[in-house]
Amino acid sequence: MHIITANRLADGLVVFRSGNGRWSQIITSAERLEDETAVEAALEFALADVRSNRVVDPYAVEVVIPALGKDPVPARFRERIRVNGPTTGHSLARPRKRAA
Amino acid sequence: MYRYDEFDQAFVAERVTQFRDQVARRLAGELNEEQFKPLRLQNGVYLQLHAYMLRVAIPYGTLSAHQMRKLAHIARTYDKGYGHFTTRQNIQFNWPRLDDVPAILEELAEVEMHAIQTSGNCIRNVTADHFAGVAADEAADPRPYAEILRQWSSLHPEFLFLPRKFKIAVTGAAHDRAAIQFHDIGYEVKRNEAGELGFAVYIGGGQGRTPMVAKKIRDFLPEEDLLAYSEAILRVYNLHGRRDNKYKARIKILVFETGADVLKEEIEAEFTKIRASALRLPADEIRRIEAYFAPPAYAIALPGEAALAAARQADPGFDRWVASNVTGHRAAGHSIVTISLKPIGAPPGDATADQMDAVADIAARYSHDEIRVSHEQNLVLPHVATADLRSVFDALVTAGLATANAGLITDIIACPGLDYCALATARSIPVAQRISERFAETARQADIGDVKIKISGCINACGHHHAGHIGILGLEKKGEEVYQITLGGSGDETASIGDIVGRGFASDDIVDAVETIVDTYLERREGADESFLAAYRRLGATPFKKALYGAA
Ligand code: SF4
Repeated sequence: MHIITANRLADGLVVFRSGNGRWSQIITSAERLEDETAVEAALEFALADVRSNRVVDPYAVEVVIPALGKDPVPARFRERIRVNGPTTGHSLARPRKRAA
Repeated sequence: MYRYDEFDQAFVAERVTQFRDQVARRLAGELNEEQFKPLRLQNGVYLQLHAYMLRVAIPYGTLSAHQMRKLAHIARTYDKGYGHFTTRQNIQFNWPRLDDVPAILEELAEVEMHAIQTSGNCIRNVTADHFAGVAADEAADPRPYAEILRQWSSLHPEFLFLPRKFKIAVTGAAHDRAAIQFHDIGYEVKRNEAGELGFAVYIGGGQGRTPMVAKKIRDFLPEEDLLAYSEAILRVYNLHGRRDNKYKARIKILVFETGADVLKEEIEAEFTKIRASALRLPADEIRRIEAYFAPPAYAIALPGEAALAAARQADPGFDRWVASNVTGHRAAGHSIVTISLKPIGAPPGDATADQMDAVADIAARYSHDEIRVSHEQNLVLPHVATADLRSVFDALVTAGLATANAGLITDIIACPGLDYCALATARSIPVAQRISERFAETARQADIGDVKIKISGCINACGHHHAGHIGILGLEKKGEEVYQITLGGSGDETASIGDIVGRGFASDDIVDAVETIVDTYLERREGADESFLAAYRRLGATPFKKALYGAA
């Protein structure tokens, strides 16, 4: 299973593409793509969003669903860090003063 | 301290205006990502794993208190309240919004800072010994030369599109704290027998996937020829450097493939042609730039040694800090203070906005307003009166910046690694954090002495692992983080590249492996005077391999 991710153009943050074509920072609503055709189609939509300057660098991430009703979890270690943020402690301590 | 002349100021202001316009056009969709990416990189903006990252240049690692306060302000206002000091004497902000970057650059320009030449295939920010101008052992302050090189390279049209990025480092002392032999060009300022100033010239050093120690191609280059010779090197490189393969494009590969002798001949021939040109540096111009770096007016004959000895005796914590973090100064009654950005268990090189403000205040009060950033990811107060050391220590304790470990095993260098970097194959900061915790105990650290651990999160080697006494390279194998250890690397005047000791270690085992190596050193050293590096060079890899992998 795959989901589509990218970085939002204006603030660079990691976003996931949901079935209704929105991009969200929350992985819960990411569209779950069962096969290659679905991935290709979703990537086409994502590339259109690149052209309309909403996101940059979209790509498909392989995920698993650990249990029914749970959020998708990326198979690769790198992608898990990208979803959850740095693992180093204080880096997450405080949000930017100027939020989106 | 050097200040922008008017030309620089106008140039930086123009670049900010230009970039503001480019960002606006990008957000409005008038520029696409392909068109915009090179523009943002030219202004130090990368897209990393989680967000944009802005890299700000700190030329030769020198900052005023005023500039440090501005960095704190930026961290607080536009980022998550901290910044990361890098192994290139720069600072990186990990979470800026793209649409805020023009405002950040404008604020930086107010304090004569910018992000130009922190990216791309140009001559990058010139680095220098972080003890420049105050080290007791130097022939001359290397920063005026770094500044001359910076001015020459900043706007040089011929060298904006080199085959690859190009790094220059300058040291003023025979004991190399700037790792010049790991740079594309390394200059060591020295005096010849006649007492004249000049440079030993090294070329072709570098790390990355093909690490090379630089080759010395000149033992003495007269001071006035600095730019002509640099230009000759760059021209020969620009002509022959490989543009067909990114991994073979650095000058180190050219030196390796062509041979230093052949290349030297070509450089010398080019140099002879251009030596008498406008590139020759008039002595009065050098002295004019030098004046910007003139030492502050130190108070003369300050007392302090006796009081310091008493204070050290009274407080073991203070004593330990002085022993590791205070270095002799060229001016009597003064000391150089290293502020460790390696608290036990914390990410190396990170400082919060409040800590940056605290350092600025301390520098304003006790260090003639000046701060340095070291490539070892620490800060330095270069001009502290020895009589003030206790007050400085107390202020640092309050700010959480008084860790007594400069040069010790917990003073670890680590690149951002997979926690931030889009290119990473494994994490490096958490490994540093765990090693730091393992060796936290102060008496043990003092006993182990000078061990440099350097960690990179991928083959690009931003964490300088090749030059670590113990180097750690994070890789990915079958979806897991694996760490490869190298031993015996060194970035000083006895530069060497570490030897790969054997197969890599899983994340759970890497800290134990480091401990095994350290224990082996402690068992086999000839005495507390024999450093880790000296012991490794005497013993070779065998006892360490045996300890790590058994007798096989
Ligand atoms: S060494 Fe690799 S992981 Fe570390 S900062 Fe450099 S590119 Fe990123």
